Amino acid sequence: MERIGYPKVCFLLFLSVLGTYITSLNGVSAKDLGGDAIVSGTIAQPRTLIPFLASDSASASVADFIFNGLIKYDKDLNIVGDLAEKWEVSSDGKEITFFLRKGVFWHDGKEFTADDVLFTYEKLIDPNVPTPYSGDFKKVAQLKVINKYTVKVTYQEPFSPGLVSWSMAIVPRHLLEKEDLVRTEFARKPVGTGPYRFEKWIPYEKVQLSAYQQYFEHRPFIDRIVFRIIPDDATLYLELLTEGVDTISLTPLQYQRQTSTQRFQKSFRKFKYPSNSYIYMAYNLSNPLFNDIRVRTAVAHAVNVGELIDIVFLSEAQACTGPYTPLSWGFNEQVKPLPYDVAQARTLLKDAGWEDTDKDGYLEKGKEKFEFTLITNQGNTQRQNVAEIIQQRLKEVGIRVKIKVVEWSVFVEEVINKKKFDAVLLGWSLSYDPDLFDIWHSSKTKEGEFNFIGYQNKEVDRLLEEGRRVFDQEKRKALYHQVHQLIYQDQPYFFICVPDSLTALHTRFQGVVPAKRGYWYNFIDWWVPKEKQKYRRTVLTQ
Amino acid sequence: MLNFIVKRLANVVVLFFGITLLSFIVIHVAPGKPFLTMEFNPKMDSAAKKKIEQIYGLNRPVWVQYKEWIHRFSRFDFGYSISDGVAVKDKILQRIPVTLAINGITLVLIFFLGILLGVSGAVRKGSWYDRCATFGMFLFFSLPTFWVSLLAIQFFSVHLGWFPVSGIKSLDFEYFSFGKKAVDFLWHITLPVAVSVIGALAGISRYVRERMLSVLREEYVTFAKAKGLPSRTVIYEHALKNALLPVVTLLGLSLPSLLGGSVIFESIFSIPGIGRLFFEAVMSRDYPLIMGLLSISALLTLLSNVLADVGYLMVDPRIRLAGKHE
Repeated sequence: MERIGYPKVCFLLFLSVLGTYITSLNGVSAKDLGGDAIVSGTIAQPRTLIPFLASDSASASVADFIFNGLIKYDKDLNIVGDLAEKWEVSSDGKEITFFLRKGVFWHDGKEFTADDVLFTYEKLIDPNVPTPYSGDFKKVAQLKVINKYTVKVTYQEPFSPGLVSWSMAIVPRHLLEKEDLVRTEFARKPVGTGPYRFEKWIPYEKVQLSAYQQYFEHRPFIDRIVFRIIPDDATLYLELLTEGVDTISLTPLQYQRQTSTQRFQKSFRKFKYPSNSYIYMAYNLSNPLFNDIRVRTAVAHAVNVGELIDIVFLSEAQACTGPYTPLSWGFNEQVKPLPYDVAQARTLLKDAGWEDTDKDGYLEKGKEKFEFTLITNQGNTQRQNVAEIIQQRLKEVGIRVKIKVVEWSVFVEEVINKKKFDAVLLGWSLSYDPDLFDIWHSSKTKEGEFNFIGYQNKEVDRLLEEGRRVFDQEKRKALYHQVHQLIYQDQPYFFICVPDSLTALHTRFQGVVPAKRGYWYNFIDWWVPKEKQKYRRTVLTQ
Repeated sequence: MLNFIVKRLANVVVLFFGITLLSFIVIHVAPGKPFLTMEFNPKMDSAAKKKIEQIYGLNRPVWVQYKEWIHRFSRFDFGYSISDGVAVKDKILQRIPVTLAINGITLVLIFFLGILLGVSGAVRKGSWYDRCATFGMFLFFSLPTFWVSLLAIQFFSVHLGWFPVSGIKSLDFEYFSFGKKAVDFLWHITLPVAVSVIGALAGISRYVRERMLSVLREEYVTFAKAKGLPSRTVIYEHALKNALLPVVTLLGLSLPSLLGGSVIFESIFSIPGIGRLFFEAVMSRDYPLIMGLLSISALLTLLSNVLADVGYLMVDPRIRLAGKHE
């Protein structure tokens, strides 16, 4: 029985992995393939499962399975429909019309309609709702429900990043309309349209989701997802070793040195893919030390990034060449990282007037010594190590660096927002759309905004504005490639490196196909062969 | 007696408000503000933070906020946590059973084993056993807990597979019968309790040992021995009782710690206790939650001090009489 059934099932799965879902057959395959659970270990507990209120990654990683947006990114980071079947952008770029999927039901059985989209939008722009994501939606002039399955979004002016902003999870009007969003029970008992429905949440222990049988693509094959909250890195790793959890992200050290035992390799697969984030040292450009481009360029020449990557990241990172990572289509391959060149660094510093006149090993200009404080946040050892390597290398060219490690809340409030720093060591996690207006445009320098270094370049401003008006990806690409190059030339940051994402996943899961987006994107197609299933099958009540 | 208790209670009220006022000022004056995320994301603007500050009234003067806090506190309302909007009271109540259970078991074991070790060390003072025990206890006392914990997990859980690595219950806990649930819980907390007991034995056992030694030097002990009583009777019937009196005081003073918790410890073993809640509240500047936790622990500490005093009064006639003469 099993011998006949199994290849058939595999074949079906193969089909579904390819994206050719045959709905009538999926019912059959789901029945045979279902079962088991995946236990994912996370450091932090989610704060709220109302997606537009959540600003922490722990919340997002849970909510992703419960909710859908109108559109989403596919495995290769192209925009595809999710709750919207298709969409049209008007020729002037001001209107986007979304045609919604029909027959999608909330987990409580009510049908999803255009009205829910309107409700979500209303909440996003409501001044009394503390959402951090309102920025993109404030550019919408009007959102109109054409009929039950069609919504038309009109922008004040063409706004191309607006399209991806509709990957924002849609929430149900009928459950939230009368609720106080900040304190509602819904935040800990959400109801969505996604592949998994919320089952239970035991604070600081676990969040459990179960497969939604009526999910509009098909019923997920893995019965349950359990997020176990384990607040200590070392413990999380030991839990993995004893198979208490099925997947965690690894540090470079664990990835390279602690996961090569036979026992580990029998049970786990390791994955590595580039992240869409980078680490940088940002200069306060209003500080006279750093408003000279020669000095900034000299610093980039003086630090051996290759060595830094080898030591801190055990080579699991690549040099960063500007404001985009290789994962983004804004990334300009023509831009090459400045080489490690101490002689060049010295020349540049000399040109800028910095010389070691009193022979004490440190540079000075007149009476002024070249020294500055590099601030980074507490709790990130990698960054502290990077800071120390920079300190050492800059000492060799005669720059004295003091390192200060500050707790995050103070770091944001007192250091970044009040612009009280010479240089800070930080990281950016970027979204897939290459619009970087908020980080680099000269208008974004107010308190709490992200151009906290005070970067100003008229040409970059123009390109960023233009990039928001154009919808054609090839044209946008050309603009952002220029942005990439111009910003790197200006060296407003010392762009350091793009770390890889390193993870481990239990080998019993089949159907895992790593791609640009990582491997979670096709989770509903994963399955575990019956004989390898670990967690008992309990009847799903729905 | 009643007079004394009333006086002490009035004292507690004054002290309590003093403590809350000071804490309130200190946490609000400390640099930093409530924040919601540990990473910068260009798609998240700071408008949300301003709205949160508005909703929680954080932009008003501290004394106005304190007045409001007192007002709510008088109705036993601690407000809502800033980080997730859950009522502070619920957040704290959720943690209390676990914390109480683990700390209770730990405390009982520490005192039981500590007394045992102290007495046996005193009786066999200077012997090999005494020296080894002393050395061992000081060794564990001086080793950092987080390190011992990780080594213990590595050896007992990963290598031998005897205990679970972390957490306080199995994943399918809810399907267990009551008995199995209890066993599962005990099985999960064995390692954390063992590690914290071992680290804390030094203090109490040394204390008991010294007390015991000084009692054993007393004349009535010599007399009892001279009477020809078996040494077991002398030690356990005569000496131990006197040696243990001050230990009871120590026990009283440890009562507030029943609700305290160690952050490092709870993090490593993923125990959802009070310690971690407090730590996270402080790190994210969750003012209502910090105040809730502070006031509860202040109240408990003050009350247990009163209890200890009343206990003295009842146990020791000397103190009672001194009070009368005044």
